[in-house]
Amino acid sequence: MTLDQLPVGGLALVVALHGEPQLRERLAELGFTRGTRVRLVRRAPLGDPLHVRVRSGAFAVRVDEARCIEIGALQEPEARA
Amino acid sequence: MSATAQSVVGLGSLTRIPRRVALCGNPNVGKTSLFNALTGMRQKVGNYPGITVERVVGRVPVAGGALEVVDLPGCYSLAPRSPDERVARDEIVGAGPDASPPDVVVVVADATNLERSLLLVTQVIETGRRVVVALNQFDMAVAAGTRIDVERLAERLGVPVVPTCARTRQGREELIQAVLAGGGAGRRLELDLPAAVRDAARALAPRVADRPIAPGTGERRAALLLSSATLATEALAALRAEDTPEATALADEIAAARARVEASGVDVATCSTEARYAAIERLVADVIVRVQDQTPWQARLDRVLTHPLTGSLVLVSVFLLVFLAIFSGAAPAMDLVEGLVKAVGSWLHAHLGGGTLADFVKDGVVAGFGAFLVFVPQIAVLFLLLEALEDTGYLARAAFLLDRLMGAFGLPGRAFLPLLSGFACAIPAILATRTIENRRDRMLTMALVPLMSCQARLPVYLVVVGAVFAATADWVQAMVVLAMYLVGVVVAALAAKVLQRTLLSGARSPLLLELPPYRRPSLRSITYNTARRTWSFVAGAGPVILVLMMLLWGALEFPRDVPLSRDYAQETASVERALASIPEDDAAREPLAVRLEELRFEESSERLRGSYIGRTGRLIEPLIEPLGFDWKIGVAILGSFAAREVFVPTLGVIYAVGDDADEESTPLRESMAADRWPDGRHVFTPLSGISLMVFYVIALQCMSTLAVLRRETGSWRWPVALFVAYTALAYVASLAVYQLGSAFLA
Repeated sequence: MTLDQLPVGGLALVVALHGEPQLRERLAELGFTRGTRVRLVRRAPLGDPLHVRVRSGAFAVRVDEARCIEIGALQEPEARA
Repeated sequence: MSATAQSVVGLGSLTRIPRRVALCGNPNVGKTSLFNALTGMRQKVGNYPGITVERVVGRVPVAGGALEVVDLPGCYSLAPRSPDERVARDEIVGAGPDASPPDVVVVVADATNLERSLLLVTQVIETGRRVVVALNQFDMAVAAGTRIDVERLAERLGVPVVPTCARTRQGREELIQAVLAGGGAGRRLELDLPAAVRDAARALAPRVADRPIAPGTGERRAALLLSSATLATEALAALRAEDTPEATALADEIAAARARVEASGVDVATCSTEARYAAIERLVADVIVRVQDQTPWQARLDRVLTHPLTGSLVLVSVFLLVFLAIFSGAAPAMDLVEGLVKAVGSWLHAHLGGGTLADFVKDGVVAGFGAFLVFVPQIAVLFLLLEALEDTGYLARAAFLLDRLMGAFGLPGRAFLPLLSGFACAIPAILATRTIENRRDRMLTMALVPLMSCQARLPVYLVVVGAVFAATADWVQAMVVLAMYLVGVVVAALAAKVLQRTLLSGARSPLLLELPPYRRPSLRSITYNTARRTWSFVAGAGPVILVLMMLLWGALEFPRDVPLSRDYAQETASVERALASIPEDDAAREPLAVRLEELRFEESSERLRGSYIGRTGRLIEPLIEPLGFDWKIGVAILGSFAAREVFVPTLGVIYAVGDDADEESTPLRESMAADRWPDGRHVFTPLSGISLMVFYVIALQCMSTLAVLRRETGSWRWPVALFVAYTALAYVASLAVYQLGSAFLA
């Protein structure tokens, strides 16, 4: 499952990054490293981009880039992104 | 409240008092606000050679001299992915214009987002610079319930950490003191890199030890080359460009080592960043006492401002306000500038005693100077609003809302405001593209801005529509004018498609747009930034515009000895004598006064006809006749290359109704409507009128726009290419309109 498939309000863990090496590196630098919690806060009115919270910051990420962020289920259900 | 870990820092390696300081930090941490709080108005703006990134240097007076502070562009890491980030990295490692590293680097960290800020902090420490950390937005972190143990953070990092708030200037003195004390050498973060990277780095270290192709030293440098896609790409390109057997061998060696590491299942693009974040998480867990993710009002505000309905309403209102502010809000100030320029011109003209020199000073130099000075209020207003919107965090939300829509043009959401501003004036609009970080996206937006019908085109549309559609209903005339605005948008959409297939190929840059927390903007910082940017526009584009305007003046005024059909001087003198003999309040004066004005208008009309520009207009008539234009329109078009505002007054002179004619002028409209070709056909028909307006929609006629494009792109290449392309396209479009239209009507 990738980040774009997460339901709005949903929390997940980053499992892996895909795509071009430079994109993977930038995503990692912004905080999307493996094991980090991410939350899909909302989608833009036209469905794209996504408002994502990671490491007490927020980013607008297009669906194309969100597809490069593979996610998995959270271990602890009460954790915050 | 500076906390310095004396045991770690010491001043051992510091040999002199710091003089040069670099300020760096992630985007959106309030770095520039802090810079403004530090330096006040003592700032100088330059450009990095070869690229269009501004280099802003400020001075902070301190006991016994001054600190020179350079405000580096925002960056997320020292592995640069844009010209801006490269500039920041180069300055920090000493490859900037000063060719030596700064004495101290102040890294501005965001107290509300410590983990991501520390990524850059720890990287800068590893370059070997003396570092001070400014923990900015400390007040916001406190308000959000975050407790940071500043002393402990300083101890763990091995550099002084100063909590700051740029808006209230809190922490300013402590920060300056920490810099003067030389900052700290810092402690290197222990990175838990995968074994494959560690082993390969150990083997590679001696080979790169004396080659500064990546930040850090020895094994750390080797490890970075094996674990960063950006740094490796950059280093390999540099080595291969060197083109020596030794460098090529090293490049091959690095590439092979990377391949081996990758084959062992390690992501060589991200593993060092992951290891760094892991170490940072351990460090942060040790210094942050309590953290709250986001204050509830921030989340609520986001809900309203990005909501499909309320968010769109706010967006439309805000952008409408910006548009109106440029379109009409700046008008009183612009009128004032215009009035001042006229007054100064007339005063100088009178004191220089008339004659050619006085004309040159008044109409060439002063009016030419005024031609771009008149944009300054608009630009200042736009910069002010942009700064405020950016500072509060709203502009990022607007980009979030509009990203999908602008995607249809291959543009990011941030391109919307510049394009909208283009309907007021291309010059502030092109400057507004500075909010677009990606170069390709920015170039594309700048290329499309001139196709938005600016307010200088409106009088052209109005006078032409008034002349050729005089008999039709007002609403039809209005629809024709509206259609011209739409033609511009449609052509822009087509131009965007063409440019993306040719000069600006490639997809939109990935959108990784930070949505920073909402915050109260710093009025001081906004004012300084506005003043600095406005001045940098005046100084940067002004001289070019001035020279072009003076050349145009020469083409309009020379040669002076135009053969005239009558002796105007003698006729004028005789009418004046007749006038002088009639008492002040006699009704008989009226026709004579009218006659005097007619003589003046007719003379200037004849002189314009004989001028270089008039001759050129007649010379190009065969070229523009297929578009339905005669030489008079040709002259007005040529004059419009200075500024489209010239169109209506030029026609006023040509049709001998005076140069103060405006688009509402009935005599001008009537003269235009009555004008005929030698064979008796009307010059201005609905078809030739539409052809003319379409030409004005597309042609890039504004010298100031070209000068600004040159300044913002760093060379004449783009402005010249756009000028040629849009003018040719305008010609073809008008030709098609007129010829197809004529064929259809026949």
